[in-house]
Amino acid sequence: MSLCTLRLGEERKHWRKDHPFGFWARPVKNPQGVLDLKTWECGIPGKEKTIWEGGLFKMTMTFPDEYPTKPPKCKFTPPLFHPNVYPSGTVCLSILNEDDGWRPAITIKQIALGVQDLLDNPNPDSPAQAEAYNLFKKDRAEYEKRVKREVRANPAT
Amino acid sequence: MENNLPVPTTLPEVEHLINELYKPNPPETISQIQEALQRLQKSPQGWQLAQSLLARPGDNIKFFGALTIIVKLNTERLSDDDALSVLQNLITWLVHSLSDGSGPIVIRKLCSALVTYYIHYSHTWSKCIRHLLYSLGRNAAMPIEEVGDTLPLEQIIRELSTQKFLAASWFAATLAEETEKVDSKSTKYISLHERVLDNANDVAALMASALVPMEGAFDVSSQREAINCLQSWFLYAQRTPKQPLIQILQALVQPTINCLLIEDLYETTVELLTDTLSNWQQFFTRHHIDSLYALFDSEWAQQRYQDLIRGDFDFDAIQFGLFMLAFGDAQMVEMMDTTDARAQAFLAGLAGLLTAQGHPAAEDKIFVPALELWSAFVENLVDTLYSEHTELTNNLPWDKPPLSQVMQVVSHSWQKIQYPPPDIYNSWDSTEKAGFGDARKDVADFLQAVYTISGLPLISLFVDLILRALSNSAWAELEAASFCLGALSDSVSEGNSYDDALTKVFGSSLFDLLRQGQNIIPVRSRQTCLYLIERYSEYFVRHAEYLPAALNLLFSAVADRHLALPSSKSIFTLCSSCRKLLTSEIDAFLEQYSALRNNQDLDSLAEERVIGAIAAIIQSLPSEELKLNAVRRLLTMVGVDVSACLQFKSAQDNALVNHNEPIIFRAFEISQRPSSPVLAHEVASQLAIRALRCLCSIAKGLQAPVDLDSDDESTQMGSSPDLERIHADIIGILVQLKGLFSSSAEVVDAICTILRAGFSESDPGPFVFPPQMVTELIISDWQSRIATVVNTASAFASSLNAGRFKQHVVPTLRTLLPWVFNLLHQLPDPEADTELSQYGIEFAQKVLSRRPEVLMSQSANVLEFLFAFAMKLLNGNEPLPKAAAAEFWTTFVTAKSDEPNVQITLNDAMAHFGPLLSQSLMQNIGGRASRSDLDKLSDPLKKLIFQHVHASKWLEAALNDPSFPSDKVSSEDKALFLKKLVSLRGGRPTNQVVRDFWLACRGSSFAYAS
Repeated sequence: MSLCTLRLGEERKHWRKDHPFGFWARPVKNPQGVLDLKTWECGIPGKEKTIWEGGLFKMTMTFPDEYPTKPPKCKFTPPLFHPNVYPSGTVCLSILNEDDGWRPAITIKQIALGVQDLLDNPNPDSPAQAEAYNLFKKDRAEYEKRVKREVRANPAT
Repeated sequence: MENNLPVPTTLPEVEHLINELYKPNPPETISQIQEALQRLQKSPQGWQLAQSLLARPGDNIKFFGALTIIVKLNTERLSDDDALSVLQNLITWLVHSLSDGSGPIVIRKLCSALVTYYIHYSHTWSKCIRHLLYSLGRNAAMPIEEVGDTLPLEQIIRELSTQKFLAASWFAATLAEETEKVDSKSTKYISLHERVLDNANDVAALMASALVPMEGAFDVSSQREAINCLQSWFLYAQRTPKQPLIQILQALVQPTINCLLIEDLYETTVELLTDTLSNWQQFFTRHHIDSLYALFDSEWAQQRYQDLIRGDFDFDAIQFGLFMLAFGDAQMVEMMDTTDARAQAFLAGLAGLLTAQGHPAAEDKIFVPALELWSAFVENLVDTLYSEHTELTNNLPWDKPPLSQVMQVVSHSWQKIQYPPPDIYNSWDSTEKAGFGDARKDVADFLQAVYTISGLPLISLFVDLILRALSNSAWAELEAASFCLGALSDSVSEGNSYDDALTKVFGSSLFDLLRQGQNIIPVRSRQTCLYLIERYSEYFVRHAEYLPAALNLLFSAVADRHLALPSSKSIFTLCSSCRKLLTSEIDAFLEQYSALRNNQDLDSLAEERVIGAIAAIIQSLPSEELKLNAVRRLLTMVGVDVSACLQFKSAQDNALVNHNEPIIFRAFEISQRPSSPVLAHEVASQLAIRALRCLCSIAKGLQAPVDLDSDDESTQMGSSPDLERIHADIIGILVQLKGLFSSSAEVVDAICTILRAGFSESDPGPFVFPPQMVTELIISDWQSRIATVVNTASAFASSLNAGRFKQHVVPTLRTLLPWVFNLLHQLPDPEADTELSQYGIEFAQKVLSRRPEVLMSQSANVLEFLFAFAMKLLNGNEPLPKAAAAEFWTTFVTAKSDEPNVQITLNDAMAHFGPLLSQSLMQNIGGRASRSDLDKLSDPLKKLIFQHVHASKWLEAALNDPSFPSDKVSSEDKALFLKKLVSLRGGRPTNQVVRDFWLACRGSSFAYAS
């Protein structure tokens, strides 16, 4: 088995044993019903006491063959209204950037928590979509209205 | 720091400070004291100080003395002779402390100091355990030379007092813990680890004396300490595995297992065994495993097991459960072997763990870890089955282990995830509720894994359970069984046998009962059953006969506040995927929607989904006439809101509306309903938004599905007077609402979404407006979010290239381009509205890429403005417009036209802007840009080098320009950089070269510390 799949097997074990409340994450099944360890689907809940509370957002993690040397790609499906999410849904976060904060020791749990944290703490230095970024900067009330709509359309229960 | 305390000069002053350190003082005072004492420790007087302190009374004072020795040993290098005298002193203090009533903190710290000594000077004290024991026995620091193999170690150990034994154990444990942290691969410490190994036998003898006492002299405190010490040594041996050490420690496992039965030792022992089984199962020998099996078979274990099952979730009881699970984890392979009787018996015990009393997570704390083990077991089983004999999958008997036990676990889990009565559920705190919800998800995961082996029987099981629950009116069971069946929907493949099983459920009395409302079936069970319909929407595509019943049920649920969102989602999914089957029922749907609108609590999101669902059916109607008719009926209903909206808007500015008016219920969501009269204008604006959102849903619902078959039967619309009238009506609404409400961002967004819905359509339709209409609306006046409108214009222009409206591209662009440039021109500076700048420049880029002749035919001063604008954005600091500008320039550098005149203009522009572009890129890459901009900026650079003969000259000039932002690179560095760029000819490695140069220009202090 490759380093990549070995590590992902371990990650799966760890996740099953210990994952943060309200999150879910699991490898998808291919059409033959066999697990594809390199593609995970997960649900990122909005943090309590933030405008994102009550929402659960579906995200796909795609692991390259070079994982864990290289980070996985995280993509919200459907794309999420958020300053650091590209119009395609891809998440822009330093720990997911090979040239920046990624380290092979970062676990799937840490990624999931990092993305959750990003929801309510957008990074204005690396905008990824104009709409959410500009509303966040210039019209906070409208921004929050839009976020609440996203939450209503993606309820946690 | 200015307010530093002076370093104390006398012993009483030092003692005073130490005592102050341990008193409740403000944090600043404490850190000041600490700082003063640390300076003293590090000073040359430190050794003397330590010695004096250790001779004084008081645990804190002595402790600080020992700490000072550790600091000294770690920071100073001594000659071997000096070191040995420190060792002798340490041992002497230890011996004294053991008899002068010093507390454990002093003794432990002295043991730590001895270990610190050993790490640095192990060559002077190779047989440390033996020597320490000998000295403790003689109550004095004995000469090291006297310690040899002939020493009667066992006798010395036997004669140790409990106090001395504890001290020796602490030393031995710390020795393993601290040396484990020392890099075993570093050459500096290889001999340290070898010496530690030489002491292992002595440690084992010490531990054995407590664990296997002679003459029945049990001493629980010594035994507990011995087990703690073993824990450290197991960890050490696991990290630095050496066969002799492992064997020495293995001999101690059986005595440890025996300690489980001693009540006072149970907790420590079970933790050690559980940890070791979980992390290092290879450590256990066949003999140990036998012994553990026997243990689990014993009456003692059975008693503990029964306590746990009966709902005793005290720490001890849960520890026992985790111990079993750790052993199960270590016996995974054996448990898959059906011929291994004792493993199968143990597996049965593990299945039983899932029957412990209480609700998972809220009360039952063993359920989730036990299920986790079972998930791993099933996955192992799957791996083995698939990797070895694929045909086995179908031949494994379900009535025999291990599959019979897997099915037992399925059955237990299903029962355990049933919701308790509401009063109990509501008494849980949020963590317990979330934990219970997570446990249910774990069960769903587990079932999916089981399904891989079982297939249909698992489906049939839950189908039967649903039917049984229905006939018994057991609603919690119905809920749980439906949840489980729903969890398998992704796994189920198409096939008659599966459909037959599902038909038993969907053809049963379930839907009838659910429709009778909350009086019959509680809301949670109804929710889960509705969710089941959505999960199996594919089934309904294949079985249209059950579709009406399902949809009737769902429509009845939309009106229920608790069920509105899930049921409307299901309605949308079903109508969208079964649209062709539902066309004959379109009237009924429109009536259902009309009735729903009378419901005061109708949720706006639910309404949007329902209306979108109906529009999807309309999209599939067989004739144009039918389609337009149906659309018109929908529009009429939406028109009611629009009329009301206009009426309220025409009221006086301060006119109020009574908050009990029915229209208020459409204007405001339940959660935002006003409790006092509201301004009519506010009501109007809310109604405008609701009406526009409904139009958005209709527009999106009418879009042709992506997977449209080429033999689609739905009729395409031609251009007809009826269609034109609908276009005019819809645009009329949009124009009117825009005119009145375009200061609302929501209104502008909704109008743009409605327009966009038609752009992607290849066939005529009610929302596929003639291009002139769209253009006219776009270039009219807007009060807010003009950037969104520009972005919509950009999408619109692109869409024309693909569709039937190709001939409209040029005239449309000729209208839209000046409008966009004029908007950009009005900006006080390009970064005043970054969104507008970005979309504006993206628009220009798209035109330049597809229709360079249209862009380049703009007047000279317009072009000049545009290029200068794009240059300012490239030089700016806003990341998104900067990236858009980089793309614009990339396109410009490669732009080509077949028309000679256009090409000449392009060439002229290039001659003028080439040097400026080079200048901007070099300034950016020379340190002005952020690191995240570099990849984007590399694109125009690569194209420039690849396309233009003068590029190298321009770049050289830019690099050597006096305004170049960095003085950290020499002219040689710059020349080398340029040489690399040119030789790569725009290839992919350019990006790395650019990054390296940027870093060099910024200086190494900008390197990311990662």
